[in-house]
Amino acid sequence: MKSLIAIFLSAVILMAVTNKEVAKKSDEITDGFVSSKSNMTMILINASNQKTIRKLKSYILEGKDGDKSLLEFLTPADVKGTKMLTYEHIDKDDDQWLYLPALKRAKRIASSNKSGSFMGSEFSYEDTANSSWEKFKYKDTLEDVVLDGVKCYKGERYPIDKNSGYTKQITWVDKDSYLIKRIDYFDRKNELLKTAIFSDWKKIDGIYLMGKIHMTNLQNKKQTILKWSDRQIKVGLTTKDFTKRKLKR
Amino acid sequence: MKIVVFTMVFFLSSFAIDISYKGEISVKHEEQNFKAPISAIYDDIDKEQFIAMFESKALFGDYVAVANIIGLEDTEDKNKDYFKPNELYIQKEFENFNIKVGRDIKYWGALELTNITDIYNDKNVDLDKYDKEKKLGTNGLTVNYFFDNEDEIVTIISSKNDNISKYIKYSSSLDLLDGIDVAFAIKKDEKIENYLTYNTMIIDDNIFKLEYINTKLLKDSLDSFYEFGLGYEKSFYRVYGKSDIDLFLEYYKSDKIAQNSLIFQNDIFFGLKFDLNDVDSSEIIIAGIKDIDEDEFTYQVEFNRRFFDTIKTKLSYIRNDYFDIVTIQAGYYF
Repeated sequence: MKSLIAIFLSAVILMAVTNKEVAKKSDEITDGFVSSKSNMTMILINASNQKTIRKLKSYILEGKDGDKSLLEFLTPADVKGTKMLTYEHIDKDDDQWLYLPALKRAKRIASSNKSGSFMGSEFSYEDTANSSWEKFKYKDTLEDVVLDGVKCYKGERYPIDKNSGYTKQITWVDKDSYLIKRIDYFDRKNELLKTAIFSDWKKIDGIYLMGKIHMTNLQNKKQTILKWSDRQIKVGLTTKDFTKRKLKR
Repeated sequence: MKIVVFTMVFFLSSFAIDISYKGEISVKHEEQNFKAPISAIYDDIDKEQFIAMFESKALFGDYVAVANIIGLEDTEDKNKDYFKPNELYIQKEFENFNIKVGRDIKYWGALELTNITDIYNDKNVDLDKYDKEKKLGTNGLTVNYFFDNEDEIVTIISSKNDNISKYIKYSSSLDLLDGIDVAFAIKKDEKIENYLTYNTMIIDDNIFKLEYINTKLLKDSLDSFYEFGLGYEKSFYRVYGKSDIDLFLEYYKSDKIAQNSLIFQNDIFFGLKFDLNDVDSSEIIIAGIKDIDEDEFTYQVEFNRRFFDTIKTKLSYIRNDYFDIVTIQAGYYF
């Protein structure tokens, strides 16, 4: 009997999934798009519920050592044509250039601006970057919870980057699909700062692509909704499409 | 030549698969009050400027055609009024190089207050003599060659005031420290030779900048002079709410005094930009320039904000021992 219990417990332990494994799997099901281009709409909502809309174009190239991305600002009109080129690195700070069309200037900028606001929104630069599972440390234990009727793994992770604006993130991951459903972000004072709800997932060529993030800042009561549209993957972009030459074109 | 480029830009635009445009209509009010003793020589200035800018960019396969037209009406000096293309060029992309022909604007430099190495274009002083963004297009033929590692060689033949100039520039991004951008260039024409370099270096969240230019006058007894600038930039994020603060420190040195110019001969610049990170892109800039040799200090306070998503406003105050200038500007962008 004792040996049966021991076998049963061993099996349970072997079958139990860890927080890190969930994060890795959640990351993997969104990888493999090789390259993508899409239109992005950012809706900024203030505490009085007034809305402001921003539009962007996004180009991304997957890479082993980190993705390359090019963001082009389409609105507001006075910043139209401004572009941001980013070479992400897993093990060091990203390389980043900002192209200012009025000056024709491609300015190298310090990528340590992780916690700064992106376009005046409730998203920080690190929220918009690719959050690879390798950029966090994980609390071993997971909770089984239900979020909006969906069975989820609830876990904690801690950003490795010393420039991160967060001390802790709590994640909810769909147990069936491994899609991220929600993240709670805790600021440097370890107080709950923001909540992001991830939705409108689409599966193209076996790869899951996020369609919408609704970010709510619980401290200033402002919200930002980020939506993707006309999203295409495996569009044949190469490293030559992510150079300073392309910034100036 | 201008007519040929204009015809080609128009022709390509009519077949373009992707045309984008943008523009601005602005009104600027400027008051400049002179102080004694120069107030005895110059009258105070109180004027309006009406500025219109329209830019269209057409993409057709490997071709890019750009037309940028600026109109200016100045209530104080009608000689400044104009309506002309500031940029008008066609660019053809090839695998490892591109060729651009026509009138264009380039940016060479790393510093924020001014760029002593930015010698391709002249400043558009009629539009704004204190704004380094305002430049006059230069007619030229440019060939950019791109290496596989993204290094770039630029060769240019330009024509400015019936003077033909030749430029060659090499630029590279080095994977050292947290990133270094370097550029070296030579310019030659009948009267002047320039040797210059401008560089940006990132260490953690600190940005260091260097610009250096040596000018050799070929038809002058005073044979050469140098100018250099050193810069430091650091940003502090989420200082108050979402607000960021950018700090700029720059030092300029030159022996250009031999040429009867006192500009940036031995000057220190500091700047603080408070970026409120709101939807209206509100920002406050406080800056000062100290001329060490002349013991003069000029400071500027500027406030920028967007209204209704399409109207950008600027309020600026500049003051030194000789004058003060108040500028109010509002522009509609589309």
